[in-house]
Amino acid sequence: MKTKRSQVEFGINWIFVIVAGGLILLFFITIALSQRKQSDIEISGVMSDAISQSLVTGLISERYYNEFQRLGSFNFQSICVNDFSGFFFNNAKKELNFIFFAPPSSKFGDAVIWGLKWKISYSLTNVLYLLFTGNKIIIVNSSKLSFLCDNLNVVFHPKANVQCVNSFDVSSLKSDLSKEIIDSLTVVTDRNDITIDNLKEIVSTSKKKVPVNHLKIIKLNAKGTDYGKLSFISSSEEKEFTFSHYSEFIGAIVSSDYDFYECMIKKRSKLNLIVTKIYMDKSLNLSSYGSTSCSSVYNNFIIQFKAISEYDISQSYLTDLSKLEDYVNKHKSLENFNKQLIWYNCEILI
Amino acid sequence: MTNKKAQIHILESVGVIIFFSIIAIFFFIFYVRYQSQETQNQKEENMYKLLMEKVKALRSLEELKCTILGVEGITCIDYMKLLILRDIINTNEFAKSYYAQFFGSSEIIFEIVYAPYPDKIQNITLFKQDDANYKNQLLFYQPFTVYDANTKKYYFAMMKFIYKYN
Repeated sequence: MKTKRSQVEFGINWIFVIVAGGLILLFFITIALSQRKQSDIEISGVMSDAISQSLVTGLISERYYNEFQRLGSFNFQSICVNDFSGFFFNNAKKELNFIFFAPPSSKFGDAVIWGLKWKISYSLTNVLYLLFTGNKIIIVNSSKLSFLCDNLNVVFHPKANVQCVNSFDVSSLKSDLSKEIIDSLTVVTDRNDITIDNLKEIVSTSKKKVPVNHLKIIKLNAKGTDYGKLSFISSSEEKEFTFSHYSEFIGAIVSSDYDFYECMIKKRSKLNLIVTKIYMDKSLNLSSYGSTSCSSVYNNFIIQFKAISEYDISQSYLTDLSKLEDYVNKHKSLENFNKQLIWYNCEILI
Repeated sequence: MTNKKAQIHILESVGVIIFFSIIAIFFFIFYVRYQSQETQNQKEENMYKLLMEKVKALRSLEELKCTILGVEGITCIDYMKLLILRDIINTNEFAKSYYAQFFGSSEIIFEIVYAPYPDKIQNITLFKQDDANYKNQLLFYQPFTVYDANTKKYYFAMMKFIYKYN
């Protein structure tokens, strides 16, 4: 009888030990898991903060370069809609309210950041770029695109995965890319004979499968890279837009995405509206103080600023080439007015 | 006798459970407090980083920079541009929302502390947006040179950036 009771007691003790031990183990596992989740969120937050701070630093310094090495596996997504522009790094959301260009999404590689000044006559802002080494860009050199190839390490970050080729030889490019791990491929050209099928062939033997929607062609339909029209060609569509400065053309290449590009250019146009208004009001103010010759130059400025503002209000020059040419010429004429101000010893404006 | 022994055993087990529960509760309370403190510290640090980003963005604005014979200075503010931009932000809805995205809930005041003309010594509030629910604020000062194209004189100003957050 005694033995039976002690056997039951022994059994109950074991159950108790297992249950209590299990609960304690569960408690520590929960803590460990929550810590890991917390640390993932923190790392994403720290990384997105670091990327955004680096971009903001690019706003104030010309010829700015920065890089983030070995980011590991991550999910990067850039967004530009009417009331929000920024990016997601894993789950961390970061709002960036300046003109920047980045690929719509990326999953691996080192990140490189650089900036170029948007300046036709007066400086508007530094345009910033973010690219991953997994985003491969091939520029097919030509007389129209030679500016990019001649200044490759100036207009792009020296460590960006950008290559200039003098001839578009599918088999040799295929052989080159078979040694690389890439996430996307963009070919920049002014030729009509390069197709998405060529790009499919080039990436067919690459180490990692590249999705078809990550294959893009940016086609230059202009006399050069100063301003003009360009096309975004993907497997499903071809869309045309304009660029008014080479920094925007670089933006088109970096983003390789029509919707993102269009959104950023419209945002840039709105920013120009504010800056033009500031210069216009300053011209008005200065024209009432200076000499007659100064006033007449300031009045010429005002006429051009009004015309530029009307273009930026309607945004018609963003799709119409003749209007774009007029817009750029009006900007360029401002530089001559500024020279006249120096000549007459007046306060310079831009 | 056996009953008593069994009762003692049960009491022992209950005691152990209570002991472990107390330790677990104590540990849990400590952990939660530590975590909330850490989160608070992290939040303050992030807010300070955010403030620095906003100050840098402000310094980068071509809308404010001086242009003197083609030389642009990042710590030089054009007096006329400053007044014009203030008026634009106050009257133009697009401009207001554009800079609200840039600066968030903050107040940016340029305090002109030195000028050769007494009437120019003034506070110019460039931007002000209140968050009614804000509980904390961070303050940052930065010196700026202010150039007035009308008088062709330089003034000295302190930029006061107040950033408000929950």
